Amino acid sequence: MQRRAFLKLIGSTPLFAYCPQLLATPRKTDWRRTLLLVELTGGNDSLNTVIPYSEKTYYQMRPNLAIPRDQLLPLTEQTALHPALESLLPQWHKNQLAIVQGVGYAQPNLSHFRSLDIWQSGSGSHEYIDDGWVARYFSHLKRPDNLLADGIALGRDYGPLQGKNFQAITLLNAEQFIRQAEHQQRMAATSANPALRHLQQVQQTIQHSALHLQTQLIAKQQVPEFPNTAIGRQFETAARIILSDIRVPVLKLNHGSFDTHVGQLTTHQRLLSQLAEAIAVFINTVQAHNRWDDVLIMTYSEFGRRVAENGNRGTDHGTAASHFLLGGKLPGGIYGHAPSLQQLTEGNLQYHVDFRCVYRSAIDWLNLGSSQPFSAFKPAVPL
Amino acid sequence: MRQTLILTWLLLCFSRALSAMPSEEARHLMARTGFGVNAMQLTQLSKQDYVSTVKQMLASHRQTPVTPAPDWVDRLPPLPAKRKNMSASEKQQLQQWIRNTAQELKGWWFQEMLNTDSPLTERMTLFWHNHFTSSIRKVRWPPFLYQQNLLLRHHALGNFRDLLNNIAKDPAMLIYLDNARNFRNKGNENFARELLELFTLGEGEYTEQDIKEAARAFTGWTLQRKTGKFRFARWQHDYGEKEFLGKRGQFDGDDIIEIILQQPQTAIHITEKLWWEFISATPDETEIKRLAAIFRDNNYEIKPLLRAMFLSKTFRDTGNYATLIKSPVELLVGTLHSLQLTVANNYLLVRAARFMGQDIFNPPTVKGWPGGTTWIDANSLLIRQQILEKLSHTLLTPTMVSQPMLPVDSQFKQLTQQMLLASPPTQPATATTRIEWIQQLLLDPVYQLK
Repeated sequence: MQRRAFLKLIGSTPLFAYCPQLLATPRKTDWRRTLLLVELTGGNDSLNTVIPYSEKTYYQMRPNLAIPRDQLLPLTEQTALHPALESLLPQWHKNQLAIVQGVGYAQPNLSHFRSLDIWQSGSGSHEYIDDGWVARYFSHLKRPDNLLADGIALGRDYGPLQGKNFQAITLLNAEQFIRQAEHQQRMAATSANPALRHLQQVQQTIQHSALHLQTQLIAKQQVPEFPNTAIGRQFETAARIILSDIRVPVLKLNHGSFDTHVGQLTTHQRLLSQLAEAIAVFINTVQAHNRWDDVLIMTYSEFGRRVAENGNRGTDHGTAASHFLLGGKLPGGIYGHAPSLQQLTEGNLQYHVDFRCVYRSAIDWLNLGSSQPFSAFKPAVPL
Repeated sequence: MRQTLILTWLLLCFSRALSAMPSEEARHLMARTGFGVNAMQLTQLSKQDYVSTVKQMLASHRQTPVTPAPDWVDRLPPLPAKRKNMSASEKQQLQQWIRNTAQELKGWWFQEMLNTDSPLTERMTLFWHNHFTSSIRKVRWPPFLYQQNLLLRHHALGNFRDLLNNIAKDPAMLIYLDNARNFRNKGNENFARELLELFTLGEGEYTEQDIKEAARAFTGWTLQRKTGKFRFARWQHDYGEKEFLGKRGQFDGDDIIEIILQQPQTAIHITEKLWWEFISATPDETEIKRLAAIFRDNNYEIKPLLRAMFLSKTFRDTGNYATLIKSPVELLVGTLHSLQLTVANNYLLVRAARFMGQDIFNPPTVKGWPGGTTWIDANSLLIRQQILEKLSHTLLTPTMVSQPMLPVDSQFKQLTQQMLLASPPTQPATATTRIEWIQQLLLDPVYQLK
């Protein structure tokens, strides 16, 4: 993807309105942990996911789309979950689910690509940064020799894992990957031709990762049966990697499309239940092997959606949204407050937590080194 | 002295223009503008001069396909009333029909790419498909995507203004970007947004308010279900005054398009994309502006722009060879074309391209396939090698490589390398039989480049 790498800093608008204080964390490096980034592609309708059910306005503005009171899953007196997320309730009760409300950024962009670029690169609304935020973070780090890769994309694209000097592979099917890698030539990445050098680098990454997987990855039969959905398969591969004790700090998964302009209810229900089911099996699997404490799952999406439903029983692009963090060692609960449904900007919610505060929490949790691109942001959740 | 130098320089240019092009340049031209070159073409082109070859190529573009249309292209989708009354099995049958025809459509386009006498036409059609995106996944009616493909081909090397005006009323596009549901009282901004962001000006050249106003201008531009054609629904149109890019008026969609075409940025944006497609992954602002001016000065005629691009210094620079990566479609069609191979079934190509990341008629997002180095990652590289290996086994059947088990001689080595590779292989081939030699060339990383 071609992006112009010039910087236009925004004006005097405060970057964030609310980011809770950082708790001091001991600075030690621990490459045993794995961060799972789950991209909800298309812009998840957060208002129907984490529901402000005590507000009359919610029902007024969504006569067709609001989730009926008798169906939703209340977490507190103000907030409820979409019924399709029932499988996540055990984590809520064990205090392992954190929900951050009102996540967004100043001067929001309502275009899929631009906003996804912003979330993936961890930039401001008017900055153009080519590399993903994970790649940017890793550019400061010295990696240990025993990593299989810096990151693995289990879905279709790299997103935040995209960047120079960030070794990432796509692993849609581990067995196939290993088989095919056997045919590759060995080579150095030395060409002056940038296109050829890119090819050589990819080839090297393949060689290295395939060897690792071949010797270490546990068989499919050694994990429980996962749901036969795209997201289910991705979580299955993630579980196998983690249980094999293979070191990969970051895994990226894709789920979607959440771009529900038309006929939202059934699509949204289906996507959320697929997600929750896959996560539930994943958590049970890693928990049974005592690895759940070393895992953090984080959702993100390019934007939320408008408060009012549109004329096609759907919703259009919006702004602030709630996102989930799940982990064995997590101070669960609800962070931030639900954006007001009355104080809207052109029909959209106002954000309270800059999304980079959530990234900051994930980086703090990974605990790989003190230098990082978001030191100016306070973590949304103290980890 | 100075005059002699100028005269000599002029003579050299003149003779360069008229002299036969080196085979490397012939391969480069065909790989960049088409699907590559086979042995016969390489020999022929190496006798011709570059400039007249380019002119000839542009003059002989097509506006219609050579491949006969599938027989279902005029079928209309069932009307909503009929759809409601369909039984479960009828609905299932319809879904199956949609799946089958989607496959047929993709196979049909591969057939066209393999059979056409104007590969440039197909490359430009692919370019516009990646620009004015629509997908079967969203539109759910292959006949509409077929019609759109014809439209894109018809204007592929024609006039951009005509292309833009027509695509805005194209049924598949009306569905894909929801403008068929853009009404006075229930607006939908999707088309207006992408028109500005992706199709013409590019990000940052307009405001959110411009999008809203443009969307108002396109209200009532809808699809008539009975005919499957564009219809202007007057009663659904917002006739009010709009303010768009600093201009005021009771604009409709045609007016918005005209205002957009008056902005210099439109030509620059399109030229930039063509630069990325045909010339280089490194933008040259001055050159792009120069080419964009040619585009605008020629009233948005596409051929003069392409002529200027293919004759430009950057395009012809030998240092520029092998710096772009072949798309999955180019890799597949190019390999078959160069080695004069056939596959038993075009669906094998459709599937192979999908595995490599290019499911034609189904761009991943409205932005299209990003292309460039994104075609190659750890996953796709392995798939490409695997498919090339499979294809190379078909060399054992009668093809241009006659007697594949024959030992290679230096003439064969030179010809095949010139034909297939854009720069010297990373590892010199060591094979002793013809089929093994070609296999080694195909599996060299340089073969992925053009």
